[in-house]
Amino acid sequence: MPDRREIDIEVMRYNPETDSEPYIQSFRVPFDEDTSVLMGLQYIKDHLDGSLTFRWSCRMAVCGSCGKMVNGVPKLSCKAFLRDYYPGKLRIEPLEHFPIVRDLAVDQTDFLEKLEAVKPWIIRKDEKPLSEGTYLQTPEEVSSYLQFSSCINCLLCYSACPQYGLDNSFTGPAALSLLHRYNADSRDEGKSERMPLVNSEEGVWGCTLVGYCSEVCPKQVDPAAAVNRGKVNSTMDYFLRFLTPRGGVDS
Amino acid sequence: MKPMKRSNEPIFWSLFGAGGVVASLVAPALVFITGLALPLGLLGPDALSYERMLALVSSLPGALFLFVVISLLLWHTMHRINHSLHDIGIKAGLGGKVIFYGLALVGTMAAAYFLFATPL
Amino acid sequence: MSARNTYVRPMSGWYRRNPHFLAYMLRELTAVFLAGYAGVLLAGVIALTRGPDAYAAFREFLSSPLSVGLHVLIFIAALYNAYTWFKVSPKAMPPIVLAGRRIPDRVIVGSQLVACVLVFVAMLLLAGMS
Repeated sequence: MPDRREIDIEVMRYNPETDSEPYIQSFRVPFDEDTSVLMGLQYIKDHLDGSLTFRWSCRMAVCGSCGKMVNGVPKLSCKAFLRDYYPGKLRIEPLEHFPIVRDLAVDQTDFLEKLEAVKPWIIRKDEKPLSEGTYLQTPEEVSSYLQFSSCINCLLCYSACPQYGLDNSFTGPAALSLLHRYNADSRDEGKSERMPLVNSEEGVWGCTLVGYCSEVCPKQVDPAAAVNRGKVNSTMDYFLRFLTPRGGVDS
Repeated sequence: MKPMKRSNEPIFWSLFGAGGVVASLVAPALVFITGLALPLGLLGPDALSYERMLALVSSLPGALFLFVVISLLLWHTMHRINHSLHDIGIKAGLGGKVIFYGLALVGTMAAAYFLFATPL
Repeated sequence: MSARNTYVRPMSGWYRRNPHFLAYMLRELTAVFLAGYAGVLLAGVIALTRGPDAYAAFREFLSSPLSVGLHVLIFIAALYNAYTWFKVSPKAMPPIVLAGRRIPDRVIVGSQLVACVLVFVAMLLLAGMS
């Protein structure tokens, strides 16, 4: 027998050309066991209101495009299911702490600048030629950064971070996790280029370990751990710079 | 990109962290003993008597223990309170640091004075 | 790129929006109670240096209903703060690897809880001995 349940989805709408502030619009959407929140939004766009604006791409929690606030909680809308909210209703809003461009789409420019600032690539002082083969790592060396490399830049952690919301000069969870991911990589030699950012007020010191970033992360990156290990590194750098020329952490 | 200014937060975060260990490992027991068990009569008749406490603060380990607890608890809590102002939307900035870390410093100096420099 | 007419949502009252944030604010609030307790300890030390009469007055204050009531709150705050401290502690330390395997977070948290209970019992025995 076909599933004929319906659920109310309240969506935050904002048209920058006509609205001075966002408002809520409610839709009634049919769903079954397999209907994700994203599919609910697609139903609204296809059948109820074609002007609804939101981002998505892969539908399988890989691309990181479809993050939304679902009942106040940052979620990948492709990884959340309508059945889990029934018989209640859903309130879908754009990701918190980012400026709203239109409806559920936010402006990610600030994050993209921060991502670039942490230099999220392997930096070598001397590149070895291809003929000498690849850079080898032990399983232990891989495990020291692997979880932090799972980040898909979905920005849920930024929406979970009140410190970023209060002061967006803070570099924030995902960018600092990726910074730590490269600093912790045995092949990387760029720590001294990244430490000035880590050591600054805008770096790890904007964090007060609220810890919600790690709860909402869909990839178990645990950004709070990356940021707070960054605090330990920065503290060592602060005191050991008087003892060793390179601050003790760039060994 | 503008050059980044090194934060002096590591000084206060280290003291906050050390104070956190005291606050989590020692404070619950101390609070229970002095604030609840003693007044409610759960301890022996001599517990925390003047003579025994005088002996405690007269010994170097005892005085050091109390100094570390009082001072680090203050650094731990003043750090938190300073950051909480920012959390509730008050931009105290340097003024907040001066007031709260100043309080921790004054408390630390008072504890040192009464524990190590006051004749008993 | 042309200037966008974006909308920025206000942050006022953010800590009321989510139970996790409320728990965080309670954790930060424990600092006020623990700071008060540091003051009580300092007052006790000062009373000790002033002689038996001053110390007796300090103990009398500790026995007042107001003090006991406040210490109930301080004790709850201290326990909650300790719990939250142990819970996040694995995030602030490098992974501990023993015999090639990473020690799970719950073992790190659990061993600290056990240590806390041991300290509690040891200090109670020390203070209670007469």
